[in-house]
Amino acid sequence: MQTTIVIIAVLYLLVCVLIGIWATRRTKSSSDFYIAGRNLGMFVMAIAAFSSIQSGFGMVGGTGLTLSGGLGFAAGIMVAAPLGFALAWFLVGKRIWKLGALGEVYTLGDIMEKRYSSKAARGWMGVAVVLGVIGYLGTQVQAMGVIMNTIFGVSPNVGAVIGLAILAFYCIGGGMVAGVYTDLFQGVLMAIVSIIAFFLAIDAGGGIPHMTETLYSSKPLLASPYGSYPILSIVCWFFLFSLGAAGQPHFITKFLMIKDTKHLKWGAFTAGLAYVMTTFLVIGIGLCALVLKIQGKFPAVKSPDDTLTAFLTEFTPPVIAGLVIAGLLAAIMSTGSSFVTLGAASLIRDIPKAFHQEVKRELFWSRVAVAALLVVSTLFALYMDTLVALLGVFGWGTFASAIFPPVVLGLVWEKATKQGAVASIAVSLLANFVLEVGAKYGFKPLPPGIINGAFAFTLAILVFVAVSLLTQSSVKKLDRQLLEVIEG
Amino acid sequence: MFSADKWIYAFTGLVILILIGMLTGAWRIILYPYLFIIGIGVLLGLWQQLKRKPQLIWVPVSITVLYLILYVWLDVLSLHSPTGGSTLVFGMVPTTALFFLGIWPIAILVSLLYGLTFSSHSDSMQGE
Repeated sequence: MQTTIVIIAVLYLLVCVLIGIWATRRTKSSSDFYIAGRNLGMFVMAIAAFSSIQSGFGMVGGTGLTLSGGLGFAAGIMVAAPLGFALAWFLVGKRIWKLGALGEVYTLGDIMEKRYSSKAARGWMGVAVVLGVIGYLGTQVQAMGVIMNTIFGVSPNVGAVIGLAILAFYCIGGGMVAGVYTDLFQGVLMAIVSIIAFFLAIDAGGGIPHMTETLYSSKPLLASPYGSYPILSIVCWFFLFSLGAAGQPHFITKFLMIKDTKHLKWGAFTAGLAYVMTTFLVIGIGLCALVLKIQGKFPAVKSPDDTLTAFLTEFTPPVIAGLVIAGLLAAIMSTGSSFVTLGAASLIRDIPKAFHQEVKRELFWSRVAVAALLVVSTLFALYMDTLVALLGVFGWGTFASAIFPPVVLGLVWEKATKQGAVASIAVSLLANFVLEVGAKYGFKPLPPGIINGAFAFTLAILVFVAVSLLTQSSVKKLDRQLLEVIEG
Repeated sequence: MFSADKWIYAFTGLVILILIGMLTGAWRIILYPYLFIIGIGVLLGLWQQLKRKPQLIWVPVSITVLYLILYVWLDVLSLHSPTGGSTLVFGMVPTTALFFLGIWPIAILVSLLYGLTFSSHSDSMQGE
């Protein structure tokens, strides 16, 4: 890899370390560690929310999937995500903030216990989050290894360890304060370099009309918004990735971190616009690579995931390639930092409290838990690929189906019950696991093209409403403050 | 007394339709009910303000109607060919142009409407 790219990547990592040192000095309590002291303004919160959602999967995977099958992935997922920001702000933005104002509400488990007065609901939520976090972190570790290998030429395992060490440095010390401010830096970097990369890609592809004509003459479907993806999948993605956004823990817990509700006002617009900017990178480079491939000008890649780095090193100046690669690291690390803090919160706060246990010296043990989660995820990713793949299925679909019904519907519907909450979480975990793992072994009960996570999501919503209605006799009258939260 | 019951039931009914769409592999039975769910989501988000200013109902209604018009248009345009023909609109085939210049920006429009209709008037706990 060229020296310029290496220097830019090193500078990027150095900035993350410096933010980590600054954040560590500011982190003095559990509130600082979990919700950044509930002191964020609109811009920091919105960019942190967007950058934690825009992951290595979206940018690296999305570009590869556009090369493989045209615009279908972008049309389904990347068009849905900005709508997801808007829906989340509308549905739960103010409600989660208000709930946070009622007391020590730092985690999704805290939200569950406040809403349902149930330790079981807290515990089930803690388990869902921990499982998802380990899976997600495992995949981030692997992605980190690939990118560090591209930049520094070290083996993917060594690269993953270097990247994780830096992530550990700022997350252990600075918790969510470090998480959101590195997210801010990383998010702005991602958005800016994406726009530059888009124009470079369009230029390399010969302009939009020329690219469309090339795609159309090769195979008309490739010029359509669906590409070669089944329209059923695109519609499922649209449904899951927009509505399900409000069920992503690394996103909705950001609403607890705002210092005042007035900072909600332009957050959805800021986050949505920033996400749209990064989508331009995926669409631009993905389509350009496809056009160049049709013309026989794109280098052969081992896997579609290598599309982005192959394009950058072959078709862009080193400075731009360096910035975009730093942007990719940013996408991976910003998602990873959010997850590792969430996982620590579940391990140290939610699960023990579900068993009526309280961890003393919570801040210290949270830092230990962050370190432990990073070590476990690294070991899983490096030595237990299959387990990571299995846990990886606890991705967007599982979070959406486990969290949307009890948290989002629970905060807008007075009649929601703890039984409904627990049943929907259990069903979502089971349905996602059976469908995703089953699919690996040939068990595919759904029509081709249906996304398992989207199906589990609908199932969990229906179970939540049905069980809540069946258990109305157990409902205690909600207090006035909680009713005000539900009212919005 | 707060009651969003009827909207939650409408939401649930639409989710049942989506489940049927998934089980039968009928994409229109997934997509079109979902466009109404978007409107219900916005409506529930605006619930508090709607009680003071019922005229704000235009927000969820117009979002749903706009999505419906554009998706029906896309549906009709792609009935005979996924590209909607070979004419280029802003350098894209007609269906792609409609999707990326029409449907995609609505998400940002919804975010803008959140900002424009936002009110912290009812926040009794603000600043606590």
